[in-house]
Amino acid sequence: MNTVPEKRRRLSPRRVHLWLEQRLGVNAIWSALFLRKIPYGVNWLYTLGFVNVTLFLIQAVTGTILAMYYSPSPDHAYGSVQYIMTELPFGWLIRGVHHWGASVMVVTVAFHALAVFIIAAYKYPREATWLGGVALLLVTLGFGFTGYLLPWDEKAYWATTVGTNMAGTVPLIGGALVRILRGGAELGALTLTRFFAAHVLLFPASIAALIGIHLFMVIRQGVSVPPRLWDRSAQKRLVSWKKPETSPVGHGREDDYHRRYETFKANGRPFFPDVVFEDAVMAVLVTLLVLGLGMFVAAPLEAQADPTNTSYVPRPEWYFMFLFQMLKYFPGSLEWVGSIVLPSLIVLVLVLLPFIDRRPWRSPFSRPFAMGAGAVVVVGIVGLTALAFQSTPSSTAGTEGASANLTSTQLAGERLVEAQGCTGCHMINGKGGSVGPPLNGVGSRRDASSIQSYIENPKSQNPAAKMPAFSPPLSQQQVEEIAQYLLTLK
Amino acid sequence: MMKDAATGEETREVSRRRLLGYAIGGCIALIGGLLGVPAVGAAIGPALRRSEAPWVDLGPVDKFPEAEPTVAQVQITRKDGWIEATEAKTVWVIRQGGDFVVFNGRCTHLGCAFAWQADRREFACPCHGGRFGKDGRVLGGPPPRSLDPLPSRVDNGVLQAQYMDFRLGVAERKQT
Repeated sequence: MNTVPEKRRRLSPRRVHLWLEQRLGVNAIWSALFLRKIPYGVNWLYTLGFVNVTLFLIQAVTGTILAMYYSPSPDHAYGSVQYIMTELPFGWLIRGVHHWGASVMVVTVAFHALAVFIIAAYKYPREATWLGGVALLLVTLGFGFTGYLLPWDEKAYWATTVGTNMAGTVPLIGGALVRILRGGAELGALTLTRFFAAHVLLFPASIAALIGIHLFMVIRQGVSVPPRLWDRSAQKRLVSWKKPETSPVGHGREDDYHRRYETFKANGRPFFPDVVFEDAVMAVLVTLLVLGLGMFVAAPLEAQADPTNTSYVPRPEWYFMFLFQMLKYFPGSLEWVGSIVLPSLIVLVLVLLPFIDRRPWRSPFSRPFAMGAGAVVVVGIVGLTALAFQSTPSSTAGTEGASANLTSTQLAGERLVEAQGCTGCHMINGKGGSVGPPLNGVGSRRDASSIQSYIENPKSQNPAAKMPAFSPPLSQQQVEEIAQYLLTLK
Repeated sequence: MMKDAATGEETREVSRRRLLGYAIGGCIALIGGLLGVPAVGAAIGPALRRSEAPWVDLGPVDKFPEAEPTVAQVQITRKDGWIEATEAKTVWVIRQGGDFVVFNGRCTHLGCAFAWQADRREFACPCHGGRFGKDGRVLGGPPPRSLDPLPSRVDNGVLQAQYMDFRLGVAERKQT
C-alpha cells in the first residue's frame, strides 16, 4: 500500500467517504443520528416505532408497484386489480403484502400509541412528539379508508357508500360533507379518482413529512426512560417540583428533568449498534410476518362493484368495525353522535392528553385514572369489534328462537329478508345496519298493505326515502310474505 | 465504526460492535432480498415478457393467385395489460404452386407500408425509396435487410400466418 504514490488518485471507499465528509459533513450527521446515547433501561418495547417505519417502507414499495398496474377509473379499476392478481408476476404477493401490511400497520401503530400512553412518554418534554404521533395515527387510518375503495369490488363500493354516508348524518352540513368526500352526490368515477389522489399523493406526502418531524423530535428529545426507573429517580426531588412556588415557575421542573435525563443518558448505550440491532431484528420479523400473510392468505377480491345490487351486506375493514357496531346503538336522528361526535371526542382527548395529564408520575401504577380511562377505551373498541364480528355472519342461529312460532308464509318472508340483505340497512332483533329505521315495532306502526306498498315503492309514501324500490326484483307474492313476517315484529 | 480508533475503545468492544454491525447489515440485506425479488419481478416482469404471436386467418387459398403478390388485411387482438386492443395489420402473400410466402407489410427500413408495383415487378416503399424483389430481397434504397417473412400454414383450405413485428432499421431480424 505504501508503494502507491500519494499523487495517484485511486477511487477507494476511504476517498469517497472523505469526499462526502468535506462536502456534507457526514461524520457529524452520523454521530448525531447513530452514536447518540440511548438512556439506561430502554428495552425491546421501544422497537415498536421502528416496526412502524418498516411497515411504512414496505407499504411504500408495494404501493408504488401496485400504482404501476392500477387504473383509477370505474371502467378499468377492477380489471386492473384482476390483472395484478392473475397475470402480473408476483402481483398477487405484492397486493397481499400491501393488504395485510395495512392491517398489521394499524395494529402496530395502535400498539405504539398504547405503549406510549401506558408509560406516559407523552409528558414533558415530549408533548409535541405525541401530537405528531396522533396525526400519524389519523393518516394511517386515512390510508385504510381510501385504500379499500380502490379495487372497486362489492366490498369497496358498499363499505365506502356506508362510510361516506356516515358523514351525511351530521346536522346542517352533512349533505355538503358527503358531496365533498365523494366529489359529487353519488359514489362513482369522481370518488375513485379523489380517493386515489388522497391515497397515493396526499397521504404519502403527509405521512413522510410527519414521520420526518416525529423522528426529528424523537432524536431531539431522546427516547423516554422506562417509567419505574424514572419515577424512582424522581422521588427525592419531587418535593420542589410539587410546589412550584418554591422555585421559579417552570424552571424547577425543567431543570430537574434535564439533570435526571442526562444521568440516564450517561449510563446508556449508543444507538448504533446496540439499539439499531434490536430494531433491525424486529424489522426482519415484521417483514416475515407480512410476507407470510401475503403468501398464505390471499388478499380478498370480491365480485366487481354493482351499484344495483340490493342484497349485498356491506362490512367495513375490520379496524373500522367498532365504529360500524357503535352506530347500531344510536337511534337514527342521533346517529351523527356515534359516527362523528364520539370519534372526534376520542381524537380530542388524545390531542389534549399531554396537557390534561401533567403530573410528574409516569408509572401506570401511579396513574389509576388515566389507566382506567384508557382501559375503558381499549375494552370498548375491542369489545365492539368482537360484537360486530359476532353479529355479522348470516345469523340464522340467532333468529331461530323467534322463528319457532311463525307460519310458513312468515317463515318464507323471514328467509327473504335475510336473502335480500334487509339487515344491511335495518336492524332486526338488535342486529343489522342503521341506514334505515329498525324494523322491530314496524308491525305495530303499520298494516300489511302499507308495508307492502312501501317495499314496492318507498318514494310513494316518503319522497325523501333512501330505500330503493324492491318490486321488481321481488314478486308480488314475495313482498306479501315479507310484509307478513314484518308484521310479527311488534 | 469510524469512531473506534478515535475513542480508543477496547478491542473486545470494537469486535462486538463490528459483529453487531454485520448483523444489522445482514438484516437489511435479508429484508431487501425478501421484498426486492418480488418487487423487481413485478416492476419489470411484464415489460420483458414476450407474447406468443397469434395465428390469424388470411383467407381461403383460392383467394391468392399464382401470378401476382396479394395484399391481405388481418385483425390482431393484442393484450395491453388489462385492456384488449384490436389492430389492423397488412401482410403480402406470394403463392408458388402449393407453397405460400407471407411478408410482414412494413418496410424493414422504418416501417412504412410498401406496395407491389406490377409494371416493374418489385415491391416499392414510398417513404425513402426502398425496393424489394418478389422474393423479398433488397433491390435498392436504404432498407437494411430483406422483407420479414412470417410463419404460415394451410389449415382446411384456409391460409394462416403467425403475425409478428420485428425491430426496424437494423440488419438483424429480431422480434419486438
